[in-house]
Amino acid sequence: MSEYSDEQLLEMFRDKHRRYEAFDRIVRQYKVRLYWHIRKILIVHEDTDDVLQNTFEKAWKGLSAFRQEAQLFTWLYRIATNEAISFLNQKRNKDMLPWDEAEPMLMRSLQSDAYFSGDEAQLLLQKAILTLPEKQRIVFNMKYFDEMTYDAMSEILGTSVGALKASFHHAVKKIKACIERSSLQ
Amino acid sequence: MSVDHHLMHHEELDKRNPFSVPEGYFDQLQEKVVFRIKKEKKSVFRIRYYKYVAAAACILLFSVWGLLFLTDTRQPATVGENADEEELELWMYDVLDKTTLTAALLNIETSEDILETCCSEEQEMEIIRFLERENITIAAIVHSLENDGGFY
Repeated sequence: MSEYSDEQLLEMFRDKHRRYEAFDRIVRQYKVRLYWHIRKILIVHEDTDDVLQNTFEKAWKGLSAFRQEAQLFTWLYRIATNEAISFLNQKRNKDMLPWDEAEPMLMRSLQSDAYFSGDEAQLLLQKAILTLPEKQRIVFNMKYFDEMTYDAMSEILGTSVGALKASFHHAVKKIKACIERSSLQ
Repeated sequence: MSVDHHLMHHEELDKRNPFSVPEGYFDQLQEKVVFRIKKEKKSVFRIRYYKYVAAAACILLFSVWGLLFLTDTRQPATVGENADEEELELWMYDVLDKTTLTAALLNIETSEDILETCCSEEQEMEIIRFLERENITIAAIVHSLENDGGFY
C-alpha cells in the first residue's frame, strides 16, 4: 500500500465520514517505526505494545487539534517518546526503584526477553546502550538506529541541535568504552 | 575476528535490529488500535447521552420543586402529602407550563451548565440510575409532554 502524505491523511481525517479510514491509514503507516522507537526505550515487547496503543489513542484524541506546525510523523514520535518515558517513570515509582536502578531493571529484561533474537555482539551493544543515562540513550537510538536528522530530533525532544550533538558524541564514547571494558574481562 | 574486535575497531557498530516481535503482531495491533478507538467513541457517546438525560431530569425536578415551594397560587389543594404517584404526575402536568418545558428539553445544548449549577455529581448519578432503572429516555419524556401522556 502506498504511503499518504500528511496533508492527504489530515484532509481525510477532517472529513467526518472518512475519519476512521484516515486513522486506520495513519496507524498502518506509522505503527512499525513507532513500535521500534518505543521498543528501544522499553526493551520489553509487552510494555512496548501497551505504550504504542496508548500513543495511538492519544493521537486519535488530539488529531482534531493538530495544527500542522510539525510533521505528523514528528508529532507522533513526540507522543510516543513522552509516553515511553512516562511509562518508565511509573514503573520506577511502582517498584520504588531508585533512579539509578532503572537501567539494571531494563538490563534484566533484555537478558530474559523471549523476543530478543540478536547474537552476542548485538547483546553486548544493547547492554552498553543501557548503561547510558535515559535521555542520552534515546538520542543515541534515534540518531544511530533510526538515522534521524538532528533537526527532527530537536523538534521531537525539545532540545537544541548543539545539545543533541554533544549528547550523541558522549553516548558513542561511553558505548565504546563499555564494550572495551567487556572485552578485557 | 572476534565479535568484540568487530565492535571496537569499526566505526560503524552493529546496526541490525536484534529485537523481534510475535508472529502477526503488527496486523493484530492494527485491529486492536482501531477497536480501541471505536470503543472509546461509543463510551464518550454514552456519557454524553446520560448527561442529556440527567439534565432533562434536573429540569423536571427543579421545575416541580419550584412549583411546590415557591408558587403559592399554584399549590393546589388536590395534591396532599399522601398523594400517590399517579396523582402527583397528573398534578404536575396540570400546573407545569408544558410548552416551556418541552422547548427546554428539546433545546438542552446547555445541559452541562445546568448540571454543573444544579446538581452535584452524586445527585447526577442518582438521577441517571433512576432513569436507567425506570427505562425513561429523553425521547419518552418529550413525547409524553407533547402528547399529554404519562412517562410510562
